[in-house]
Amino acid sequence: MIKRQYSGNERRARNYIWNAAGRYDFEPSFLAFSPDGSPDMYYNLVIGLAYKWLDMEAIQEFIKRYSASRSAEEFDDLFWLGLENCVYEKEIGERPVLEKLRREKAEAWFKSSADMSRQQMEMQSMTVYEQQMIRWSEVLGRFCHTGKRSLALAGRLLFSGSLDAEGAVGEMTGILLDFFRTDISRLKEGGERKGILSGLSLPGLPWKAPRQRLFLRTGDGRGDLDTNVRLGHTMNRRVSLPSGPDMDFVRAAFGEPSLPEREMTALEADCCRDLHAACRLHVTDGVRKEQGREAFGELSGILKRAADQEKANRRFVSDNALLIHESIRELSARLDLLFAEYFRRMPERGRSGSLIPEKAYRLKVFRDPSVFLPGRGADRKKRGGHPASGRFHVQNECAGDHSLRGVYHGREPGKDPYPGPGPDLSDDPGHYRSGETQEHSGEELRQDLPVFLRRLEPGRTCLSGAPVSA
Amino acid sequence: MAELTELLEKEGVDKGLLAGAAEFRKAYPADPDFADRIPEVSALYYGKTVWEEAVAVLLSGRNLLLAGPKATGKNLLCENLAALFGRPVWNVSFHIGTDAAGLIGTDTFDGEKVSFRKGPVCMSAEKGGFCILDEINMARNESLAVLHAALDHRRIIDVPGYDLIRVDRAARFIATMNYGYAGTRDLNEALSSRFAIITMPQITEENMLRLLRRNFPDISERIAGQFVKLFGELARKAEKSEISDRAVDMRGMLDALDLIRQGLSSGQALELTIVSKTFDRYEQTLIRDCIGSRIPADLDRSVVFAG
Repeated sequence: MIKRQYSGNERRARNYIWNAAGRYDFEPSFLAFSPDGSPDMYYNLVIGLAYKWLDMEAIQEFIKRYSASRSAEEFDDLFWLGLENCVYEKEIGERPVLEKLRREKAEAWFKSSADMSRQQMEMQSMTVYEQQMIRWSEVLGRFCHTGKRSLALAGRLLFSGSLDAEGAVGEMTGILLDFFRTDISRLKEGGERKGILSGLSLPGLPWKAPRQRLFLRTGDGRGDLDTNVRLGHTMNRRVSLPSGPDMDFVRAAFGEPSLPEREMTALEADCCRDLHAACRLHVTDGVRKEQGREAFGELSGILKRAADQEKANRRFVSDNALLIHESIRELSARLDLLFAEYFRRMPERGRSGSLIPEKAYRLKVFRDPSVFLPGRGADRKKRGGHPASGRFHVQNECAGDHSLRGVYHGREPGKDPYPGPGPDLSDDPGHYRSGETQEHSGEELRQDLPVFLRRLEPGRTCLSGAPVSA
Repeated sequence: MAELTELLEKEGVDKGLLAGAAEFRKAYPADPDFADRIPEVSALYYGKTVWEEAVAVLLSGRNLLLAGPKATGKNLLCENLAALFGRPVWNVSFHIGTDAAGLIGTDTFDGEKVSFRKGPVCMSAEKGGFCILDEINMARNESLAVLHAALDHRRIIDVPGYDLIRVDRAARFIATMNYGYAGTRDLNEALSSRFAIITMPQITEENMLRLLRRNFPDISERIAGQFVKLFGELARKAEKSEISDRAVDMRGMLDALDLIRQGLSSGQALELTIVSKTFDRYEQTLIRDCIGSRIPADLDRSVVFAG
């Protein structure tokens, strides 16, 4: 009998899955590994239980439908989070150890996320991160404060144990529509992603299997596979100039330089920087000296080897087109995710609080009163959760704080709202008080809108004053 | 004996067959000199169909071959059958070096003269006992040829230079074999045709649960259920060749529970009695993974025996 050969960890992962599924007659499409490469026991059991309890063909068909989306990985992770609860509820009666394993999983998640650097966190979807935090907090009985939207999503991701595959797919379809404005029925069906690397690992979430990794290397290609996933040039310094024999060869092969050396040096200093720091320029009219013939023969050999290499490169690209295409797609998705997270992490807006100047126009143009930031003190309290997440959010808050500080103080024209000691502001077209907490409603602001719209000029922070129409 | 008959009646074993066994006991009372060779029932084999088939075969005067994988209860059934029929047992464990002398007997010098010292096959044949030929396919076929005449209709053992031994009417030969086991070989046709062969099924979950309850009456229902499921999962894994069947060990399961009762944690006990049955480190990992997804490693006796 011919049996497929698996690596040790892959075989362990498959065994977890087969064991949980109670059958060995299928090749799992998903495997779960921890970031250190060892199989993730709990999630592999979840995958196996999904095979046991749900129609995995329907699940895979659904996943395939959004697989072309750039957020496919994010959707995968959320979908598995939903399925986790579903199969947990189905199986817990038959396999009580799941409760303990689930708790261990939750503890391990918090431990790994506490050790995670800011850069690592930014490389993953914050939505997934938040949802995991909510799920595992709940498992451990910890209190986890987060935004209403996240809580609502977390509630929807608690797929009931009474659902079948069709029900789970229906739930996820609704979630994608309600929370991600993604109508699955309108998505162009993507290709089969099976066998393509999903990129960097999220701690303990299922990966596509079998995994492949496209290593982009520098140097001579003999580097260590484990460490050198690295793009770009290894050196940011100028390399030493070619030695005499090299220059002789270049001259002989391509012709004498047509620019004086001083100009060439200036030109190289201007062009050969950063990634091109190791490059040299050679400007020539193509006139070669007689002694170049011999060197030219050598050049022909080089050109032939280069042509062969080009062919080999093209063949490689052609043979690995799917892998390369998917890698580019994954990288693009990661970048999209990164940018999207910055937008998503913008503070929630409300109808009262501190005015967000750059959003003020929405009140006038779109009749959108949500141009205020709710009180930050309360906001910070709301974000409890894990210390790491707290630190992360505080860092973000600090990073974005400068533009948000301050409150708009509406007042009647010519009337100082702060009588008493201090500077007379009655002639001041407006003022901006750092750290004030006085709040105004959208309706109040609407009265004064023309004033501050006028004041919202580049570089200005004063937001109040006489009506424009005056 | 009455207790065993009652248990089998409860199991639903055909009453006619049980009555037949009772008549057999009455017709062939065991030699009191060998009464201590009649086994006591320490554990019961569960499986109505197999019981009925085995009792019918023995009542009809035929010999029995129990074939099946490890942990299917072959030896337990042998002992239970001997107890039911009230027969003394001679046990022969076969190995690659087993020869005719080891089975039939050998010449020995008693200080005055050379005499024949009977082996287990001769003894059981003469005394009307049950001769259990354990792992019969471990021995070379040629060394088993000496048994042919004893096992077929002739029912004789012709020892060269000695008397012809006739097999007692109450004597039976019960062989066990596990095909695919390391070191085993196929039984040749000449030998296998002299047995009625029962292919032993893997114990069912329900029967294993009853076995555990019988051995550990105070075991927690929930924990017993998980041990049963674990055994099934290991058996399935061995069946699919993901692991060898060394870990599919019923005795190991019972031993593990015994060690937990002695004070070890479930993880320690299962490590000693199940995981360590194989010496391949990677296979041990797979077995540990399987155990870990069923039985928490920190269960102690207060939890396991809380029933």
